[in-house]
Amino acid sequence: MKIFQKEHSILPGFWPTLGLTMFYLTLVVLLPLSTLAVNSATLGFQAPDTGFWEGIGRGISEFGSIVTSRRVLASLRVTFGTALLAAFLNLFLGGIVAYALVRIKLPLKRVIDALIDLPFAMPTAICGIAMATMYAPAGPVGSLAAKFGIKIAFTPLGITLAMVFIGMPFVVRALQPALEDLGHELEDAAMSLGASRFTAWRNVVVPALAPPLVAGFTLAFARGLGEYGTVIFIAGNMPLKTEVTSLLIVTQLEQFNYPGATAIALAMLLASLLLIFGINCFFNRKYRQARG
Amino acid sequence: MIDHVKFSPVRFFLGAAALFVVGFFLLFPLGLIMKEAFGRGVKVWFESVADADTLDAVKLTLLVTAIVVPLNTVFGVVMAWALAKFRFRGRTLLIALVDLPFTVSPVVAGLIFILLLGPRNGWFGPWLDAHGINLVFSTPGIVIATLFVTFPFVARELIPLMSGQGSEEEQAALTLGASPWRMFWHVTLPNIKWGLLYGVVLCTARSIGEFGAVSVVSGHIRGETNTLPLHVEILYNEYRFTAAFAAASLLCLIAVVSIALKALLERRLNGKG
Repeated sequence: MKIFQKEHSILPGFWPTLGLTMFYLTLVVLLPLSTLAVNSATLGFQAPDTGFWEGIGRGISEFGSIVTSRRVLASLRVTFGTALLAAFLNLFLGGIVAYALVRIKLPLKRVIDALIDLPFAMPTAICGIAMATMYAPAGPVGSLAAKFGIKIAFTPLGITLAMVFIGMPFVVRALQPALEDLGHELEDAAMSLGASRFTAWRNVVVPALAPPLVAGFTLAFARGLGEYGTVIFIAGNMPLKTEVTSLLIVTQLEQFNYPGATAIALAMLLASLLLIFGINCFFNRKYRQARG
Repeated sequence: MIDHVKFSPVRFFLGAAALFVVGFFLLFPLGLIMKEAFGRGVKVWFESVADADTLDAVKLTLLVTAIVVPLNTVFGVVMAWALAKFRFRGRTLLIALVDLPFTVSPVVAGLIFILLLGPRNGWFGPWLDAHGINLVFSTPGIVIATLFVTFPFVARELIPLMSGQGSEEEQAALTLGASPWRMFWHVTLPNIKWGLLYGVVLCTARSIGEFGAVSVVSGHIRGETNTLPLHVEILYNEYRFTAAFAAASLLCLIAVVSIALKALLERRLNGKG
């Protein structure tokens, strides 16, 4: 069994392009990313003449003590909580937008459709100052909310709203093609068999849309977890309360605490990869069972 | 038959709700930046944009983009050729690895280059330092971090497109005696041009606008390592709001142009191909 053993093809250039792919991928992505793993693995070898197992053991306990410190745990709680809430809100808000764009005659539909990508195209720092201006206590939305006694800026609610902004295109863009493919037939069939529109949606349309819903949710969630620019201006960045993990990494770097920053970054990367992988696996199994 | 065009209050409500969501969550922040930028008149805006530091930031941003986009475009096509036109063991894994930078937080993307190249603790830091080369906290660091962040855009657009197109046309060209280069320029490239352009637009927009990764590696040296998004942050944190929003409005204009281009290219891709 050979790696990269390929099926026969008369097309030229397999080995050169594969070689260049490996070279560029390694240079730009894999080698830099491996620093996280290697630097974390060598955490315990700071003192000279550390034995191998001793160093590993010391490294694991040091890694553990960094990522379970009160401030790191608090930041993980804030980040995962707000990103999860924002992804759920986006499922709902993005769902409405995607449905309307596919099924309802809207004025200026093509402009609205193009606008969905705005959060992708705008630099995150610009999104961030827009959010801060909008939801600040003196801002147009913030002052309105303040009349009802709701504080948005510098609270987890503000972080969530910023993540809603940045995550919405993922859900809309995942749902749109699926809704278009689905057409009216399934719904019509269900309704002609006597189901109400609501029942038809709950039992027929939504299950059929489950894969893109999960895909959009996962992407929006992952984006929220790592988001920096959009969030930092509105978050207030109070340690233990409104400090997101990506900001905590920057803070550690600015204090030249490289091992700390590395350990937190590795923990966050692993957590988000595991989550994405987990959601996909869990869902693929369920989906296949439902079909098979 | 069920009449879908008929007016129903539920559909009307959903349509209105969708317009509200788009208006409130997407259009309102954009409008707010424009209002803050142009609120005191075009003259004030123009003076803010013509500020020397802002112009330096624009120049650096353009320089970084001019290096990053061609590199990622050429390698994007090369990677797409290997990964889309051939079936081999390990292909799925390689495609997943190409997408990897999208799952990495921008801040972490900056951090890894400090760990790799930083003058104090970086893997290659001491060696580079001894040879008088400083990569992070300077323009090369910004370029490298931006390369990482925008790595997947072109390849990611091309791989599904080229897989879907298959390779019959290329095979025909080869059978008719075309050289590999001729086949590429006259068969492959015309087939993928809209998809390629689409990837390039996304890559360009992100190179101009990247903030987190660049912020970590730049060292924030004004007039030297300040890209436009970083410059906006500095101005904003110094409470120079008019100048900050003026620079921000420039980036918003670029963003609006790029989503307009994207929409146009999407129509080409779905229509004539």
